Amino acid sequence: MNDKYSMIEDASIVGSGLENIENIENIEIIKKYFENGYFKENKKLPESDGNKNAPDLSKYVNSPLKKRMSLLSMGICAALSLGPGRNLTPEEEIYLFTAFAEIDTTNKIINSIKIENSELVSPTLFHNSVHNTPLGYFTILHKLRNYCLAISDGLDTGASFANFIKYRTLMKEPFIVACGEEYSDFYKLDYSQKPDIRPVFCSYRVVPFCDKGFRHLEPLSDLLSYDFSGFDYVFADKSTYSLLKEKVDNVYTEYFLTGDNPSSVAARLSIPFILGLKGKGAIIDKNDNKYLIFEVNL
Amino acid sequence: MKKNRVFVSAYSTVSALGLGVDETLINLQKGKQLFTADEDSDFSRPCFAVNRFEKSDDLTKSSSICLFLLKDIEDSFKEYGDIPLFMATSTGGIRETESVYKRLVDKSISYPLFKRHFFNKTINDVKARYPNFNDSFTFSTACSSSGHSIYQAYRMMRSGLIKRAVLIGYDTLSYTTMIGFDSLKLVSHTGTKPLTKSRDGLTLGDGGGIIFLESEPKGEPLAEIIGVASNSDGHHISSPEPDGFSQKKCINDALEQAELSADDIKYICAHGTGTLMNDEVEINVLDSLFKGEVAVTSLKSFIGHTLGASAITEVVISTAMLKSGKIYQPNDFADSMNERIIPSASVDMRPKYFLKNSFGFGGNNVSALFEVF
Repeated sequence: MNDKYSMIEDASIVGSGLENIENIENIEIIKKYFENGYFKENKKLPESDGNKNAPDLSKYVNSPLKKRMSLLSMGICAALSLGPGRNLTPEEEIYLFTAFAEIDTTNKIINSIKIENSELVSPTLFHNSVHNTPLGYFTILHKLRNYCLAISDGLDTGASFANFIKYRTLMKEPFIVACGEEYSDFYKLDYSQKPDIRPVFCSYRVVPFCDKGFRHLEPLSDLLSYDFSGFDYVFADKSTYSLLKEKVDNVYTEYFLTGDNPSSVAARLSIPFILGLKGKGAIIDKNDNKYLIFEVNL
Repeated sequence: MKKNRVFVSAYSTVSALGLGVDETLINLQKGKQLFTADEDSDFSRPCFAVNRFEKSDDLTKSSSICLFLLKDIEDSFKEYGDIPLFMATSTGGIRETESVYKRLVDKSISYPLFKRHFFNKTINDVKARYPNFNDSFTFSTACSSSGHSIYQAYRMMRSGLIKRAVLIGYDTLSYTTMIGFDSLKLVSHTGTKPLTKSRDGLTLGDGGGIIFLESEPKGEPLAEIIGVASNSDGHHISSPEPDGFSQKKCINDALEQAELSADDIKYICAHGTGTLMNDEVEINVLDSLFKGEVAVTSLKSFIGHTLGASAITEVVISTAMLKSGKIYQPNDFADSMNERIIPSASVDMRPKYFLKNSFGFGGNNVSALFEVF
């Protein structure tokens, strides 16, 4: 267990529910949401349908390439460019956490093959369909040679994020996190569940071995018997928020922004840093029967 | 600061060459390209399918490959708990999704896509049978995916964060990849001929590879990872940088880590997809960096391009091949792109070190160096 903290710096967030003008405006909006009780009361944004309100992020991509890019690729490129990409060093590794990646592009390809019986598909669609496509575009747009890796485990991506960050923060070098999902008609084909997947994209720099910041704690199996008295606040996914609401003071959720995105814990971790919340907090994400937990100390 | 060593204690592989290392070597020694049609598909191009797994309502083909690999080496790791599991793939359950897709659109069946299409499916199948694994993650960077498993596990073990790791790369044939690559005009219509002047594209294959890494193995290790590097081209979403600058840097960084010079490397298992551009750039890079005696081959001649599985699968086959004392080329190999570095036939040699290159869409490069015991 690492007793050192890792700081989150240069956080950016773009996508549905935000103005998407400049990152500083988006951060101000998030602060206003906090002041107006959206996090505390799990309020719903008036325009909270990710499909109908796909944000226009094309203004962030100053290149003809944007015509070829999916919303996911534009969102990740925008979040990186507005956040840690502004002062990226060549040594910094970039990690993308995404549950479904370019599934909408893949869905179009499968549809073309299986429904339209096409013997060929759009070359652009095909080379845009891999999980590291957003990072590929980011390095092309900015002519970068940085190490890039996409980590993806569908519904278990939150656990993969927690597992991976636990190890990566034990290495001293700062690194970059990006996360996000995009809406796809593919999701509608699974009639057994209807997750609200929202096009929100986040990025930040993690600086390990600091005196303040976040650190990984051992996952909890019994949340209700856990003593939260040492925490000034808790940020959690929607179901954990509901479970803790009557038990813990100052429990919040960013569900109105990130919905059921399986990678949302990566964005949730940055919220106390964006809001500048002082004191000690807990960031929780439910995965299977376990509760993944980070401590934040600012 | 003292760095821990990273040994390969056990390995196995699945490909058109066979199930497990022994069968793979036997078929490799025959020197034939075993093109095999996929019995569940009507692909119009040649492929290297593996049709030997029983169909199951519960398991995807990806899961069947991974469970075979684990079973094949389980004696080596089964006594240990809490081993980090590094998975790598680019296709996951896409093959099975394709098979039900029309019925899903027609709403004539129900199929749990969220549980079966994405990469959590295989990890969950593995964890249900092997309680040895706790922390797990799936890396997906197209064709270089399992190269990243090697990169990440190597770094964590070198720095002492973990003492053991199981790495699995897997991918299966699908219409999406077959038709997708064909649409990019990258699929051979006659069968792949990597590293030759007559090459006309890649041939896709089912495949998987597993390696069990330990810092302090109890028994005699098979090999050691001695350097791994990775970077991006920043050039094009599906084509390598024409001058190979980033590929060169990647190989040089791996050499530097291993404290070796280019002259120390006598065998290179190329990424060698058989496409015009990939092989041209890679062979030019290798020719410019490796001026001494060196043999470069592409195992994709024998197993096809297994995409995200290719790095680990080819590391396993390379290691086994070198331990057998011979580097294999197809019997009918001809028309070499570069006669100085690409042998025209199989050669008897047992080099101490080898380099494995792995390059993927998005200009994603990994180079790894191994010492074979």
